[in-house]
Amino acid sequence: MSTPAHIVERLDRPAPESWPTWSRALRDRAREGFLAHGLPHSRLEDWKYTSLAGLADGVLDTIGPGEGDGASMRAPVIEHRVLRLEDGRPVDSGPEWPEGVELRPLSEALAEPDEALRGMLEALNTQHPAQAMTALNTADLRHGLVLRVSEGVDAGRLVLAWRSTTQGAAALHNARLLVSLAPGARLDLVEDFSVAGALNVIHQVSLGERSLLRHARMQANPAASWLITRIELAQSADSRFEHTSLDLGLGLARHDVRCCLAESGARCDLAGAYLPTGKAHVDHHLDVRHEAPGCGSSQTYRGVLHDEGRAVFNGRVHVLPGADDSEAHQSNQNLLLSRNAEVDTKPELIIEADEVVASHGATVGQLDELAVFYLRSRGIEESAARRMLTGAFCRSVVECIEDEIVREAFMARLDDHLEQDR
Amino acid sequence: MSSNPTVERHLEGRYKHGFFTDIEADSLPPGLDEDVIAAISARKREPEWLLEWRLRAYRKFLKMTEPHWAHLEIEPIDLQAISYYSAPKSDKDKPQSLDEVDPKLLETYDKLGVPLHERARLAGVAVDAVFDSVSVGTTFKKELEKAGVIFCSFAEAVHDHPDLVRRYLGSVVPQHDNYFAALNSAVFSDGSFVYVPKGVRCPMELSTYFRINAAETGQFERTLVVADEGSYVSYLEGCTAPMRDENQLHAAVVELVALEGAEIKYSTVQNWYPGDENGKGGIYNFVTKRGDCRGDDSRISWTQVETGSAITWKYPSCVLSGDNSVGEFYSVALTHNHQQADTGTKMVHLGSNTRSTIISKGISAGHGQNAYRGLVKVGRKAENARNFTQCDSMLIGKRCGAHTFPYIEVQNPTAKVEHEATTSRIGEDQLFYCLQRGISEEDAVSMIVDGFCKQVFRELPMEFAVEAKALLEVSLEGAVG
Repeated sequence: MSTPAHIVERLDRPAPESWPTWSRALRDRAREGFLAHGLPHSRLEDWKYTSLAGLADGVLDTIGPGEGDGASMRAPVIEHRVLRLEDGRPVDSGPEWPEGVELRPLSEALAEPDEALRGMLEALNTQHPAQAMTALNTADLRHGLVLRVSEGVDAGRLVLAWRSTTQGAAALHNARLLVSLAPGARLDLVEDFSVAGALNVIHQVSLGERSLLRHARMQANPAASWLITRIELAQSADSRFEHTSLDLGLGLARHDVRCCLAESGARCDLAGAYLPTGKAHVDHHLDVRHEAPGCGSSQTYRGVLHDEGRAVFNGRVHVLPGADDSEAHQSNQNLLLSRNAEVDTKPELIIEADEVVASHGATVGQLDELAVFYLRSRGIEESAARRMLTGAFCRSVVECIEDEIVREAFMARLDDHLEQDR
Repeated sequence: MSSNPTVERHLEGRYKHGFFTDIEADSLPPGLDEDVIAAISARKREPEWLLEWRLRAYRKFLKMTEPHWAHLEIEPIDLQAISYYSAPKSDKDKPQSLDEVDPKLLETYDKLGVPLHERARLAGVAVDAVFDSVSVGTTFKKELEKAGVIFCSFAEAVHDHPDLVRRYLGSVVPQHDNYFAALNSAVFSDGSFVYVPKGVRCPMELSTYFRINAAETGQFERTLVVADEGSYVSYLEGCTAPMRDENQLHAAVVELVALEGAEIKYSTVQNWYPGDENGKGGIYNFVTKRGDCRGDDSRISWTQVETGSAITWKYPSCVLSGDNSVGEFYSVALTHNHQQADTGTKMVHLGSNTRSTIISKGISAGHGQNAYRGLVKVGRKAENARNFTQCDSMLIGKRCGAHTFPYIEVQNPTAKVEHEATTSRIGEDQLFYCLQRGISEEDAVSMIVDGFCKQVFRELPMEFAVEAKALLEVSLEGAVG
């Protein structure tokens, strides 16, 4: 088992000389934070149901390539406007951009003075035990992207294809994505993860007034992989964030999304479908903070669990004092289809303002046997009938994706997955 | 909506039970150590095994730390400043019957609306009243004896029915269950004990009235209810305390055991002193309540109306071990002024075909903070478990909070678990409708709140339902204004 010092030592690559002093200080402080707490453990409320022990035992002790299984070679979910990242490092310059869009590697952006960038990077808490993965990411700050869209510009679509060079067990890689949309700007961000080993990605997003970010993410990682993502989002007045997440992988995936609806009229809609099979483990931790009046949010998550699959859902909506006229809806539904699968769900509401309409619902159940019977009475085989019903259950999440091309591509992946499934 | 003087007046006088009865008390000096525990045990002339049990609990307690996970702001509690034993010193000897009970004490219960003689007779309710640390008299003892039901103070039970106590004490809530349960196990002074024998339907409702009277004391009672095979019992519990500036600690433990085919209905109307409108004083109500549906086809139902206490930390739970067992939890929790509540339930499904229902209604007014925290767990072997949970919150005013923390853990694919919750304020349209029909604003609010809580009140025995409704009205007046 790796100790925190052991882990940091493996990751420790000093920052380039050209980087400003503050960024090195930031890395050092984060390093201290990680050393103080180590990997998150189940005694922390935020990590009650998800253990990273396997990460400490396996991945961080293994250096160098493991056995290949070809997962890394998979073609991206959409093959246009793709930027490829290997081991968290951008390996090409991505598609052509219209005027007003700036995309460059983080290491390059950091070499120049940039107060906005500094503000964003310094905003994350790296000292809390539950944020140890954020601390680790910051301590290893180096790879990633900075994407800025100017006022009123529609940047179109960007597909990020996350791959790993080493297949099977490998070291942990960290990456950071910083996205800023100026007022009225738009971006469609698609992410496709097919990564062996461990990847720890943090997205920091700032949405200007009236801007719109559509974010669709899917992962189909192999078994014994660890994907840890965190989205930190600050939204200005009347901005919108539409997020859809599709988890089809066999490894462990932990997704944190934290949205701050800081100004009135902002809205975020989070949706996700997860279909853990084998020993897959999918954990969604959502935290939506309504800080200003008149904001709206929704969380719609659906899961289908087979084999020894395990799903964790923790959706929190926090309406702060003064955030009147807020509207927040939360729903988490699960189909538990195997004896050894497990669902742990906790839809939280913290309401401290007046004039709030909030609701949440969570269910754990099975397929409706009457519906199965109906389909069988029409001559459909039982396994096909079950697949059809499970498919319909998950598809409703993918259908939320506005962009037709993205929706179709995700739907195709979901259907493939359902077909393979017994 | 502006403030209303009549309502304000009403609000000021709202805690009716804030009087203090000046009776001579036999108290231990403040402080907590093994000697204090030995002194409590000696005063109650307890057998050796119980003292040992207490000391074991105390040693476990010393290794534990105060929990901080609840959504509560708790001022540090100085356990050494509390007196762990206070008994009304009416007679050196314990009163043998109600006629021997200090008349002053009986007067206190009269003021509380629990005239032991009358109310009991009228309502057919047998009352065991606990004053600070000791039980002062149990009514209807003879009638119950005829049915074979044992209903007495805990101390009496230790002397008269040691086998039963020994067998069940700590079997549902183990000594080290949590910080406050461990403290209680070490220092508990009295409480009630109920045993309903096989096949007996308890002929009347049993009731305990708890009152903290002396200053700087804590109340640590322990209640143990055992329903043997095929029996039924309905148990009611009410609580009050005088108005004082300092916070007083109430850390009770309630254990219920339902054997095969037995049913226990446990109702609480909790009206401990909630502190003044600035949040000064009031009771810290840190209670561990748990029922074990040990036998097949057994049933435990918790109903609670929580209007009092500065801070409530309480999760009446059901462990559904027997096949086909049923657990129910109905709760209304009201927080006003600076009250805080973190309350809910745990339903642990272990047997096959177990069912549970949770209905929780939280009302927050003023600066009140109200949190529902619940756990529904379906174990790997719990085939066909069913749970339905509904927790609704109502907000009255701009500075209050309503929070929901439901944990759902399902490990069996035959389980059906549903949870739904809403948070909203009193509808302007509902209010407007009532007002334009000539109903005053306070009446309208109380009507709407009453409707909101109806599902829970329906579960209370009749006299309690009336009391609960009145209590809610008094507690809420001034909330909208």
